[in-house]
Amino acid sequence: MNGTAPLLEVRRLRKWYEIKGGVIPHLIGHVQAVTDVSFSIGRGEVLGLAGESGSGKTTIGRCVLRLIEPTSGEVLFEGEDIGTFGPERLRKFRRHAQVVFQDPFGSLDPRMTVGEIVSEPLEVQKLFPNSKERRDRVVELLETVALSSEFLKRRPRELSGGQRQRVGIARAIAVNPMFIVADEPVSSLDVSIQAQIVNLLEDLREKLGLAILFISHDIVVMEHLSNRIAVVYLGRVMEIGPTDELTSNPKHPYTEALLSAVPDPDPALRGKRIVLEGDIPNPVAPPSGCVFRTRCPRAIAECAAAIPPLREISPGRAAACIRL
Amino acid sequence: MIEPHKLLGVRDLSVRFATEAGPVLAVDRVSFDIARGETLALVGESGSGKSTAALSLMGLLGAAGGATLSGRIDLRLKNGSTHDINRLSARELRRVRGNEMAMIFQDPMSSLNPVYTIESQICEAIILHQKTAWPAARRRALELLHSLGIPNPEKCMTSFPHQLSGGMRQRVMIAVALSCEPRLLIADEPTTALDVTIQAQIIELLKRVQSWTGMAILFITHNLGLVAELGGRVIVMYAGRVVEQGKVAEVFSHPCMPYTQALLRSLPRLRRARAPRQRLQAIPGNVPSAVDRPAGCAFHPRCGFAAKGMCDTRLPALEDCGGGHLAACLRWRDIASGKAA
Repeated sequence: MNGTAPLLEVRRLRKWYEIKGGVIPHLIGHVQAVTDVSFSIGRGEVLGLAGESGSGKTTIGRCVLRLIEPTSGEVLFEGEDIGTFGPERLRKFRRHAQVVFQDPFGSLDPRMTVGEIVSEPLEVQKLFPNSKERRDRVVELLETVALSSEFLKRRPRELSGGQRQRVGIARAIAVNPMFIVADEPVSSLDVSIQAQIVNLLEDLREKLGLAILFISHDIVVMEHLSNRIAVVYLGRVMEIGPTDELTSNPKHPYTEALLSAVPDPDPALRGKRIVLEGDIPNPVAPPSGCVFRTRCPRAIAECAAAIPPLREISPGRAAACIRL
Repeated sequence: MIEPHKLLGVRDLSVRFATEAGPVLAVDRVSFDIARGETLALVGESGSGKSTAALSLMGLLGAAGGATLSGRIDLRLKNGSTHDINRLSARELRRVRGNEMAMIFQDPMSSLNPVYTIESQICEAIILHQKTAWPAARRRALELLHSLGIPNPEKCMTSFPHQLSGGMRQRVMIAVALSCEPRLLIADEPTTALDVTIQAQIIELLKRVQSWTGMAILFITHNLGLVAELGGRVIVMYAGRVVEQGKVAEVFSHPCMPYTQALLRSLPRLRRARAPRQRLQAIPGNVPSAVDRPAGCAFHPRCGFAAKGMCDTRLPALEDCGGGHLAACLRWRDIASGKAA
């Protein structure tokens, strides 16, 4: 993205949820879901956001679409701060930025037909006001995701998991967006169906020039789809860089452990496994200094002293660890 | 009757459910054995019947659930006698569960009781199955939690399930399961709800426990990577039937059944930049619904090798394709020799 502005830029994004307690409810703390996260996504680029449960990856995805309001920080889309958008401007923004959710059942209205689900965004955005043209567009979209006009009248419960996820994807690309957030889009699918959806996302990216924020706990699928990967832990970015560099030569101890924990059908290929001890700490009271130090095999006393900044270690590659 | 070194022998196990959409044959004439101390993985996608098979081994599927079972499930008890699980009374089953075999489930939150402490839940299992008193049971529970790597066992004992993380809850479930020293542990997707770093902890733990106790593990999963990690033997199920079985290393390096081949190929693998990015080889179509299974080989509509007039009409039986490696495919010889197009 030489010289040109990125499509999406996230600057020091923070989302802390207030916790109230006591007899007279007052603020007693914060759930520090996301703290000072910065990254950018270029046009047509796929950025993977890898992390375990509680890492804040879904919160980040919702903040960049302003489905929830961040506590502080900025999200710039084509250079404009989406935090300043009023309702009308926000609706226009959503014409360019869409979302695919994990659970393809919970995110589709059970009372609507597939045709209604896919045409709703077109109606909201007042695209294709002519109903015949709109119907043609819906059929075209269903064909794009390898379904057919037969599905128009069906309801979500009549579909398999993979078919439902295809409908979710058709709905997201209906308005021809430039950017989608895909939040664990293949996690609930069977192994043999996962590959179909991964291939579909790959095709769409090529055909439509889509930029994707691909959120997943599955770093293998992410390695396959993403140009770059950001690894998050307890609401903070631990490491970010081009996919192949990051997976072949992880710098941050957490990235290393995450990659080594992935089981492979050929155990000889996996290499040495690093088994992390303990659990992800409570985001209400994260460890001082580096948040990963309580589970880190390489932690030293200094790790508790200060929060390590995300430092550039090579062009386009950065990690937050004082021991590098 | 089963051979002396076998712990469990399943013969022609079928499970039928009566549903609104008609009768469903969830498990169709499944046979396998488990030897003492062995690890056997049962792998398949949703609807393959793997969990139903596991539940029936524990005698947890009965007429009350609308299930009809047939076939034999012979279990050798600690006292040397063998019994068919399908023919035990509720009372006899209670004696077998816990003491002879125990089960852990995918979601430890819903398998633990939210209103009781961990202490009372582990001790309940011990007192119920082993007729000991509370102080002894409590000592045993503490010992177990300690050996399972729970950082502060005393504190864990007084906790409620919601106060523990997913990994800790699964450790507690394992403690309950191990409390009466069963010789067979049935683990139904025990790590599916957990993060990969926690999954790695639980797998290491199960392997360690197995090496101390010498118990056999039946591990049910959809994750082929985990199967390889565990080693031992594997059974691949598709649409209620066993389609391939053998030693994990053998089945994964030379799969004979096209479904196993396709499944292994469709799996994204960590490249770590060692190989160029390649498009995933997806398996076309969907897993067939249990009420409407294809005739002949259930995999034939999705199979690249399916032959008309053969695979769509004849049901393949399991055949030995070398050294105890079994596969259910009419064309495995042609496929192996490269003659099948």
